[in-house]
Amino acid sequence: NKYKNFRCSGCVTGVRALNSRNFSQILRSCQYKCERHMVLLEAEDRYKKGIRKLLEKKRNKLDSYRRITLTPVKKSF
Amino acid sequence: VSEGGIITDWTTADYIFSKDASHPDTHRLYESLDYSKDRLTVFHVSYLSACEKNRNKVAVSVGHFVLPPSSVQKEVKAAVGSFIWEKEDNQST
Repeated sequence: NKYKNFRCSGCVTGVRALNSRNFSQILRSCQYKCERHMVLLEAEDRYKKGIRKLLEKKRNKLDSYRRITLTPVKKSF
Repeated sequence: VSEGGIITDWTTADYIFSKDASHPDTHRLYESLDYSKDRLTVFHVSYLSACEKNRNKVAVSVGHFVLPPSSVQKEVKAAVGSFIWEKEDNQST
């Protein structure tokens, strides 16, 4: 479908299946993004990178906390 | 999920709308794992009114109503100009 290939996934209209759950992935996989959606995706990526780092830090903190609580307490002699 | 939004259904809803990216409810979405993993996009509520105005719903593209976090908005605006929903906001006020 040649016609479809030249359209930006972010700009196509009337696609019922497009929703909050798949929009980012569809936009990412689109090879013919318009400038606007390209910029949006790049800016969002930078933001998401920061969030992922933040979430990882949070998880590590939780893990280390769990590790501490699960460590058997050495009984003193 | 802007003021008065339903918080309970955001984990399952297919479409998530907000009119304020700085609202705590919306902000929580931006900090979620789903958002960071490309599994969530927030759209501006004016998409709904745009659909209402435009009888031919097929002509309104939801991709033009993406509502990114405030910091991302700034970057995008600096690069390519304002968002379509900003125009909608100005028209309605």
